[in-house]
Amino acid sequence: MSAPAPLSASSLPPLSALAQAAAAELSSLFPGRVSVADEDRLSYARDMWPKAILWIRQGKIPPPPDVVVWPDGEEEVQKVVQLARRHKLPVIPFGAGSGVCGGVTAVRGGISLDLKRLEKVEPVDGERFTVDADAGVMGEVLERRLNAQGYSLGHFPSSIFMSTLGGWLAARSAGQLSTRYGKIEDMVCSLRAVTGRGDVVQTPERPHGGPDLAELLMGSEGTLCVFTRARLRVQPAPEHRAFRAFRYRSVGAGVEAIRRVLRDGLRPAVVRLYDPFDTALVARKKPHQGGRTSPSARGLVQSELVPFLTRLVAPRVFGNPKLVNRAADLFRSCILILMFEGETRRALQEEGQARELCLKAGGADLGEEPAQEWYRTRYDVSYRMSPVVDDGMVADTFEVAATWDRVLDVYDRVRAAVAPLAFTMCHFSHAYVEGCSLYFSFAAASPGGDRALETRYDELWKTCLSAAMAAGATVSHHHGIGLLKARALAEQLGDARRMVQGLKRALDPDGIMNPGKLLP
Amino acid sequence: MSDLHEQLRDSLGPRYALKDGAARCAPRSERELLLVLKLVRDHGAKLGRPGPDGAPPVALSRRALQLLGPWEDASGTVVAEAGATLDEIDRAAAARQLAVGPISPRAFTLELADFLEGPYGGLRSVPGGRLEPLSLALTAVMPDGLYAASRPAPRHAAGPSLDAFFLGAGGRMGLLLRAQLRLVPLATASRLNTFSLPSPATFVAAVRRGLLGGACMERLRVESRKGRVLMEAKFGGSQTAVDRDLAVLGTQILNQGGRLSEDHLRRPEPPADQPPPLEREVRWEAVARALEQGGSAALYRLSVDGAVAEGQVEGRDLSAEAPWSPALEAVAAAIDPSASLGGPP
Repeated sequence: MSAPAPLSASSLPPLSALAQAAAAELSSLFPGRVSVADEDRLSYARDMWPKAILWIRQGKIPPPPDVVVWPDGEEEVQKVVQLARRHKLPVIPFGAGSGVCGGVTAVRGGISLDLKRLEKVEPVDGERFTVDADAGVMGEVLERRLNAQGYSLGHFPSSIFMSTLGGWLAARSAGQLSTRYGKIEDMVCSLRAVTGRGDVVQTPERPHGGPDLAELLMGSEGTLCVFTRARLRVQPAPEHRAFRAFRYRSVGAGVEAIRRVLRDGLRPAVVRLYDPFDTALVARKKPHQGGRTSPSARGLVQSELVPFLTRLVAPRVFGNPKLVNRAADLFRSCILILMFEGETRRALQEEGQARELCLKAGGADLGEEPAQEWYRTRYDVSYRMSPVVDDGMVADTFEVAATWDRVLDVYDRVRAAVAPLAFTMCHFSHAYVEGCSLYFSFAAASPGGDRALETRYDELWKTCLSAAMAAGATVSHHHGIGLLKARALAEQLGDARRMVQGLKRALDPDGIMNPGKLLP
Repeated sequence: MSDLHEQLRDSLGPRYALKDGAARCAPRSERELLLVLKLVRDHGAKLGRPGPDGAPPVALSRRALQLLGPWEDASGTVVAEAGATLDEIDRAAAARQLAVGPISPRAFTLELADFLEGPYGGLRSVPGGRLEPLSLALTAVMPDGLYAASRPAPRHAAGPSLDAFFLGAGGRMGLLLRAQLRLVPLATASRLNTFSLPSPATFVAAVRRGLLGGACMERLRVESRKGRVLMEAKFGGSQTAVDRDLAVLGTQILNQGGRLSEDHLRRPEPPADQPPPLEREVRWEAVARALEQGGSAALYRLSVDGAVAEGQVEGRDLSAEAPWSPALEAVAAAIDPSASLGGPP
């Protein structure tokens, strides 16, 4: 792969007169907390969307904001939105930039609103099991503060060290323990947000009249409002964790085991079934070797899969993923990891009952160690994408959800559709009584340089989204929409996009909130 | 008679009836329902509201839409039309070893659309002390007559919840036609246990902690007894689930200074041959207050925040609509500018 095109901050588009006036006004309101510096504009121009790396390598800068502002509280957020509305300038809420769908790219410039100074966490209400927290608090900080009081949120996304509460709400985040505790929307009692009209809304707690406003705001990815605060359900810190792993002869057998466990009323905190090639990589790891990769996490593709495949096949061959996928089909067995937590007796009882069900479903008991090893390394995720692209490849992940009757069809159809374009593997997690999430990881190469790789990347996404939707899956389970899946969301909604457009008209009548995302 | 009413009568025949100052339209198909909506819209009328010329309001019944199916046994779901009652759905589900799950007696008497769109918001309890819509996916007709259909998936990150426009909205942002429902395995075992707790506060603490710990109860009945709280818990599910749930709740009750009791509650069970009594959505603080004042209640649809109560507990009347927030009113106005579906309450 050729060296990337040179990129300098001076390549950034200049500020318009309108943006300059807004920046001056913001600087007088919030001295020292406003920047138009090129370095800051460049930093806030993208999240972890791999396509942005491909752009940068070609000398294309992701559209940057004109101004970056660090407000100190809800009132200041409101002032910024009101000012933006007056100037008709876009507002792009920014948490910690861990999104993977281009949700913060400033397609029409505007004001990037970094919320990390909104970081207050109130003491836990131990009677109601709630905590009030500001939207800018980092996930790991929130969890640590809860732990210090004997509680847990139960929300552990892989990005916990580089994502905020507001980002979780904006994208309907899911954590690794979601099977027991739910996704972030299941933890919200009420929300506060500044809408695109510049007013503050507080969603009511139950009982309330009318539809659930919080459900209409969550997942809006900054296109309706800026989240400022939330009241969240917390859990007593678990007394005990019980681990177990099983081996299955096929993906279908493993999925059936999970379904039976969930339909029986058991609630493991962690459920992860790795498809055969994913399992082969997991099995390749030796416990306690200081490995830093959690299976199927973004980092796996970059730090293990890529070197592994590079050693396995010549780069030219790797450009033909059909071959690699066919090789992967030689692997057959799958590993299922379960973890139960909570009160000791209940966790042990549930683990025992799940073991019976899993054995009946044809599983071989692998003991506790594989699950414990997963737990120990669950955050060992690498975000270093550039070296992968330097090798002439691009890696990404794709997560959808479907009901049990469709899960295997989604798996087969996506793999078949993607096979000519990329190497792919999958794990099944975030299990519910009615279905689960499928998390595909793929790696693609193209011998034609960066532009060809970008074309391959776009083709890949179009193909996998189309295949998943044709099989009945939803377009995203927890990564969100951003720029990447906006067209697919419109397709999924069909005529119903008028409802979301009506919501947008009501809460953001001037269309200033994060334009171009979700439903452009 | 106004043009609108004449056209409705001509289109629906016997399924149009003028009674007690309101016109009741009972379409027998989705096509007829869409026609009613079109006529209402074309005449600038508003569903459920008197016409500008003093014409009687048009009330819509979806009772004739009550087909069930297809059933998806692996996922435990069924598609049900809007007019089927929860009780009918539950009885049909039982034949497949499935059930609607923990909702309240009055909710079982409602038509599906009324349960989903009305004050109950379509919610039922799920393990962990949370509430979740009974529906996995919805199909509705929007104010402009086009269809909105959500995708059946247990969760998503595909923008705001499309279903949230309809759940609890009283049909004011769209009218539900059918829903794919999440069913639970039919209970094969049940158990009643009575406990005595030192105070209303310890009762609430034990129940909240039990729910967070994973215990599922179909119902609680509580009353004050000599300064203590007497609580009867009804568990249902598989035998192992019932045992697990009893163990979790029992542990929390012991931790709060409570114990098993052989006393019987004075509060009688509601007679089976009469309509279920009025229900309210209540918070636990209100339940504790009622008990402090010597009250009693039956509690259903339990969550860490509260319950649906029958008895002397203050809360939101679930037989009446409550006002909407200004933000919701603005959303409704943007989606149905002419308020043909009635506009916010």
